[in-house]
Amino acid sequence: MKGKIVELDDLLAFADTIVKKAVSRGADEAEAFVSSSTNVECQIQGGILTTREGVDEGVGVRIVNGKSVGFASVSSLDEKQTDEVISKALSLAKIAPEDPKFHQLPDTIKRGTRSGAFDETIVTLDSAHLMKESAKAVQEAMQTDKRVSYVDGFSSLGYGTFSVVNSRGVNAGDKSTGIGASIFVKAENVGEVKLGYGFVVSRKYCDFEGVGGNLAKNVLSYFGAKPLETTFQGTVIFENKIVNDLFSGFLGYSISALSVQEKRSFFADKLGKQVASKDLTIHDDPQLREGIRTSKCDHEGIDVLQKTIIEDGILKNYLYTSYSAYIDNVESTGNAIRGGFHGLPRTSPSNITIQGNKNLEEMISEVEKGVFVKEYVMGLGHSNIITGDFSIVAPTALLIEKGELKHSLNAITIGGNFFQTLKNLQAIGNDPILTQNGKIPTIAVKNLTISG
Amino acid sequence: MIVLELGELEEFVDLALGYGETLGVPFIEVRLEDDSVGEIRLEKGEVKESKALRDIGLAVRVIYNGVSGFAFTTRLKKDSVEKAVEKAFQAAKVGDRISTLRLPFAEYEPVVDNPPIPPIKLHPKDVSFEDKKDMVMRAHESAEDHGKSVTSIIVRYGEAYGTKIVVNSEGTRVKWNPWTVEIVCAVISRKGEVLADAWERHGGSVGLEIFEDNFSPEQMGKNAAKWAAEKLVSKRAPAGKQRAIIDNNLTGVLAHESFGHQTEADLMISGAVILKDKIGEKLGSENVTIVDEGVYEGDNADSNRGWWCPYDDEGVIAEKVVMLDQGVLSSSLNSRGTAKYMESKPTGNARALDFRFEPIVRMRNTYFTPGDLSFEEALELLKDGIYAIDTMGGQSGFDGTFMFKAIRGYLVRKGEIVEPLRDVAITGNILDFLKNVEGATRDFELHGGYFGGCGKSGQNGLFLADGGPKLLLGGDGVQFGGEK
Repeated sequence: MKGKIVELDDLLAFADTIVKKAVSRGADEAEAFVSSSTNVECQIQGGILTTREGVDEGVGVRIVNGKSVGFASVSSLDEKQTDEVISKALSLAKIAPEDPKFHQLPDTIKRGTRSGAFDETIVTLDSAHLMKESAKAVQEAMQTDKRVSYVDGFSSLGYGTFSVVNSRGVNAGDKSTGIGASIFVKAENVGEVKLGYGFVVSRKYCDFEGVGGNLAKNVLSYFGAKPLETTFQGTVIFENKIVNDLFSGFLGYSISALSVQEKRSFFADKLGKQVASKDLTIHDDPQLREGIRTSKCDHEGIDVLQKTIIEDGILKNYLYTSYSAYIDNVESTGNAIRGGFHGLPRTSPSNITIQGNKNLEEMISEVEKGVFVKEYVMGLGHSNIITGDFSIVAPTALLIEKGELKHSLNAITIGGNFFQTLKNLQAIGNDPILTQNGKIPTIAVKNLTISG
Repeated sequence: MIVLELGELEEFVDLALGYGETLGVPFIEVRLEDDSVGEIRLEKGEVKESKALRDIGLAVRVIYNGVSGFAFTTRLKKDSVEKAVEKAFQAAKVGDRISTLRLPFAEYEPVVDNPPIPPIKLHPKDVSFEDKKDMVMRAHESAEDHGKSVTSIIVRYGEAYGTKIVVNSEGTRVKWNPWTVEIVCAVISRKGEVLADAWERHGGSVGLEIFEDNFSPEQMGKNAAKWAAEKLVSKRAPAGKQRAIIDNNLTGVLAHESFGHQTEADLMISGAVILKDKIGEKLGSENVTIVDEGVYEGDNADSNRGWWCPYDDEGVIAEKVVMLDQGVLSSSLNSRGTAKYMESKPTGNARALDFRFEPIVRMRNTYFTPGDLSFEEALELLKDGIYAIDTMGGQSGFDGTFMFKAIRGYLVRKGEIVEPLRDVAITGNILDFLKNVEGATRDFELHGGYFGGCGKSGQNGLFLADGGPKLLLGGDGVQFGGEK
C-alpha cells in the first residue's frame, strides 16, 4: 500500500482475503469492514496551540453462525492480528444466543450511485498548513475588537478509504476528503459576557477567512443585554446552525426503522400520517455532491438511496440498515453507518436537507412576541429522545416584539417538545447552511415556553 | 496478582524514544496502549450485540520551547513509528513559530514503576463470555418480572482492560493495567402518550464479584423496572426556585461537570472559566469540600466504585487534590505544562482518551466529601422541597451556569417524602449552588463505569468516576422546571 492515500482496491482485496478465511474456518456468513484514515487537527485555545496527526486503520469482522452474530475488531491491518480477530468473532458467534430477528448479511443492491467530491489538495496538506490557517482565523477574531477576550479555534482535515466485503457478494467501498473549522468567541464589556460559536465544513479545500471575524462582530452586537424576567408562550426563531443540532438527534433517532420496530420511536405507526406542518419537507440525500456524508455506498456496502422523509408534513419513509430491512421485508435504504472499524452498523441519516422559502426579515416580521435564538444552545444532549421533550438554555438571544428585533437578552431557557415543534412550525428560512448533518435553514416555531 | 504484558510491542516504545533522541528532540514522551474492550447489549431478551475489540497504538509527543507536537499511529512498524516521531517534532517546530502562549514543563523527578492491580476477585479477563451474558440476562428477566406496561428493556454490559506504558526522555517509565466494568439496565414504560424511563447502573474499577454480592443483576433489573413504573403515574415537579436534596449520583455529576472543569488549569490559563484568579477566595459554604484523586482511598468498600488511576498519561503520580476546602478554592488540577505556568506542581491530571490523543488536564475521581447528617435528618431539615435523583448527564457553561435533568425525584412536605416526580430540569450557577449547601449526609457513593464518561476537546468517553453524599440545598441554590 503505497502513497499517502490507501487505495480502495487494496482495501477491497484485503477484506476479501479475511472473508474467505472466515468462511473456510467455518462461518456461515462473514463480513469484513476495513478502513484507513489520516487526520490532522489543530486547536488554539486562548493562545495554547495543540496539534495532532495520525494514521488510524483496522478491521471489523462480523461472523454469522445460524442466527447468532459475533463481532470483533482490531486497530491493525497486520495479518497475525487480523487472524486473531477472525478467531474471536468466530467464537463469539458460536456462544452468542440467537437473535431471532436476524435474517442474513445483506445481498448486493446496485443503484448507480456515485462518490461525493474528493479533493487531492487536501491529501497533500499537513499540520503546518492547518496551524497557519487556524492561527489566522483566531487572530481575525481577536483583532476584531479589544473586547474580544477569549477565542477557541479548532480545525481539522482528513482523508480516508473504507471497504466492505461479505460472503454474499457485497464488494464495495469509497473514499473521501474533508476539512473544517469551528470557533468559539467570548467578548467582555464592563462585566457583561457574550458568547458566540460558528463553523465551516467542506469536502473540498477551503480556507477559514471570515469565519472568526464575522463571528466576533456578531458577538459584539449582543452587548447591552437585559433580563427577560418573565415566562411566556411565544415564537422562537432558531438560527440555522442551531437547527442542525435540534434536528439531528431527535429526527435521526425517530426515523430509524429499528427504533420504530422496537416501538421506541415517536414515529411508530405514523407512516403516511401528518406529523408536521404542511410546509415541512425533509429529504435524506446521500448523493448531495458537496454533502459531508455523501457516499457511493453505506458501511454495509449497499448503494445509498435518496429519499423523502417528510413531504408536506406527511411522514414518508423510515431509514433502514440490512438488519431492519429484512425484518420488514424491504430493501435497505443504505443508511448503515459505523463509527469506524471498531463499530457495528447503526442506522443514521446521511445528509438531511430541509427546504424553506422565507428570508429572515420576513420571518422576524411575522412574530408577534418571541425571541431570536442565535449562536448555540445548551442542554439538547439531555433531551428525552423518545418523547421529544427538551429544555434548553440559550445564552444568546434577541427579543422580538410586534415583528421587530428589540434588545439582546441574558440567558433564557426554552422548553418544549420536538414533535410538537414539527407541527408548530411558523416559517422555514431560505438560508440553508452546509453542516456535518446536511443543509439546514433557520426555522421559526410557535408556542414554546420561554423564560428568563 | 493480575499482570497483563505488552510483549514484543514494548520494543516500539524504545524505538521511538531512541529515534527522537537521534533527531535531537529536546523532550519526547512515548505512550503505547493495548486495550481489550468487550460489550454485550441485550434488548427484549435478545442479545443484539456481542463484540470484542482490540485497540493498539502508539502516541508520540514532543515538547519544543514549551510548545507540543503530537502524532499517533496504529501501524506498529519501524518506518511508521519513526514517521510519527518526525511528524510530532515537525508540528512542535511549526507551532513554536505560531504559538502565542507557551507551557514549558514543570520539573518532575522521573518515575520507574509498574504498580499491580489492587486486590479483586474476578478480573473481567478471567470471567467467561457466557457468565457475563448470564448476568445481563438475569437483569433483563428481573426487569420483566417487576415492570409495569414495559415497552423496552435494554441491558448493557461493558468492560475495558489492558496495558499502558508511558516513557519519556527524562527516564520516566511507568506501566500499569487500567480496567473498568459496568452493567446498565434501562427500562421504558408506556401508558397512552406517557413514556417513562429509568435506569440502574453500577460499575468502576472493580471485580465482577460486586454483581454477585452488593449489586446483583436481579436487584438492578428490579430497581429500574420499579422506578419506571413509578414515573408512569407521577407528576411534574413544581417549577421555580426551591429547597432540595440532591442525591449522591447527581451530586457527583455536579462536582465533576459544574465545579471540576472550572478548576482545570488549562481552562484557567486560557481564560475560559470563571474561577481564574480566584484561588484562595471563599466561594461556598463551609459544608462543601470537593476532591479529585487518582485512587480512591476511602474505607467504604461497598460504595467504592471509582476509577483506578495510579498515574496520569505523563507518568506523574495521580495525587489527591482538594480543590475546594470547606468553601475556599484551594487548588487547581494540573498537567506538567500548566503546573509551571500556575506556579503549582503537577498533580497527575494529564490524561488522554487513548493513544490517538495527547494528554490534557482531566479529572479522575471527583466528589463532594460526606457530612454528618443521616438521610432522615436531611429530610427533616429540608422541610418542604424536592429530592432530585440521578441524571443521564449534564451540561455546564464556562460561565458557571449548568443545566441537568434529574431522572426522577420525590416531593417532600414537612420532612416526609409524599409522592414521586417525573424527570425535572435543574438549572443554576455553580457559585450560587456552593453558597447554598446547608449540609451533607454521611452516606457516600462513588460511581465509575464503562459507559458514558467525560468529554472535553474532542476526547469523549474518558473513564472516570464521580460521587459524594446527598447534599441539602437552600432555596436560592437551583431552579427547577423550565419545561411546560
